[in-house]
Amino acid sequence: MITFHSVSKRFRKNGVTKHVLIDASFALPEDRSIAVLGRNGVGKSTLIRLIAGTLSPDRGRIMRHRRFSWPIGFAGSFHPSLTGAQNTRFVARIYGRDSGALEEFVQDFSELGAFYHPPVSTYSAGMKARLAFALSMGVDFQVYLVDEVIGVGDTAFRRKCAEAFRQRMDRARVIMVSHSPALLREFCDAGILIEAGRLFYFNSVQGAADAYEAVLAKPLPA
Amino acid sequence: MNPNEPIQVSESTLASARVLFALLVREMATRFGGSWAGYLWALIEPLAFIALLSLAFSQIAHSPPIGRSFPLFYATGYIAFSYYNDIAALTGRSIHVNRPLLSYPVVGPLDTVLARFLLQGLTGLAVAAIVFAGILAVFADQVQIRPLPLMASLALAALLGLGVGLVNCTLFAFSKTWELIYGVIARPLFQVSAVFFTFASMPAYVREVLWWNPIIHLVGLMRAGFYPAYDASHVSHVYVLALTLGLIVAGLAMMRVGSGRLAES
Repeated sequence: MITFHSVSKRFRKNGVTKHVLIDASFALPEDRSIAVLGRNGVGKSTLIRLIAGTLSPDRGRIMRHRRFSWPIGFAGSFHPSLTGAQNTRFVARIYGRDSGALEEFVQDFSELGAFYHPPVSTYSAGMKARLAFALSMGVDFQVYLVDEVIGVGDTAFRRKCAEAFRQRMDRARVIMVSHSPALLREFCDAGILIEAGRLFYFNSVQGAADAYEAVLAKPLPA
Repeated sequence: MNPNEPIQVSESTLASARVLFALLVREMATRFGGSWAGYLWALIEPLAFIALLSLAFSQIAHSPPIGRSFPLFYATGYIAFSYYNDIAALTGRSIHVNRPLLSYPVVGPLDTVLARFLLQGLTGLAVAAIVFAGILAVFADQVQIRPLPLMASLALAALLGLGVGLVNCTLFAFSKTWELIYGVIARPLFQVSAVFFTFASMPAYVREVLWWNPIIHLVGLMRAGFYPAYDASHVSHVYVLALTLGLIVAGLAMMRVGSGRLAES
């Protein structure tokens, strides 16, 4: 579903440079849903954002053969001066969807009510997240990217998110970062482990989880 | 060759066309506020400015430097100047104002620049046509419209604006200092671009310096497009074109190098 060609990516946090990937080349299979494992701060979120395309590699190329969502709940791509409806239409246009149908779906799903028509700059963080979630369900992506959250909002809305997400899974795939083994086992059937700038692929979530336990006990030399 | 390749190319062309269209609609929504008053303002602003210049200078001079109509003389200067300047200003901020949208992987920084370029290019052309048609209908003057220099002036103005905008939109994203410096450089541009005087009327040592201002050439071409007697021998297409191409190439190169950080910063 996605191919990395000698990709390098590092990021700086608190003055420390961290290498997430060093000259990594790999292809992820189209028919699997993949759990992403790795120690804290190793760059799981960075990997998800590289796959989404919201981050660019320092070196190398990433080729996408499927339509990937943005990380679920990520609301950073809304234009603050456009309304919820206008942002929805913008997304419909760039992904070649029917504006009217998407607008209707999103207005209904997001439960924004009267707030659908004022600019996004007037939204609370929760409202933005609901809009973003509704949009990513409405666009019908082929691969959904999950960074810890599969639902947003209050308990009731979260349940609705999870339900919608499960429904999508009968025709879409997922790449998921989560600290919940139950969630990973429910949605994924393969795993990758990031460690020391490298990426290891496993044919089962269990295989990746075992390797993860191993590097927790004894990290690979960088 | 992969037999699937042609399909992929047309699919990606379609995708970029969709993105460009979506950005155009988005720009129109914020630029004109989705109302007729917004479009009208694009027209009122240059008209008011030309009227003001005409009124002020007709008090101190008997006739404009060329021809007999004050409004036409200032329109030839102001339209050439503002066509360049509006495109440069708008495209220069295209990344800044659209940054959140760059986190959609299908939206590239160049798309935001091209959308603004198209919108302002077309808006400016409509404004120029209406302003000139209006002035010529109201104020008689001995003009003989020559389409070639007129179109050359507008085309070069658009491309020069695009070049300056391309360079700036990446630099602005990385350097607040450059944005301040550029503001200082660009501020006196109107006064030294022969909008309210003619290049020929300046003393030789001033002309030598002014010649390097590319807008002088744009204004010269514009006036050559209206006044048969106007001497545009100082205009160098080659200079403006070379400068424009240099800026566009530099702007694209900077955008390519900086593109990874443009969406993030």
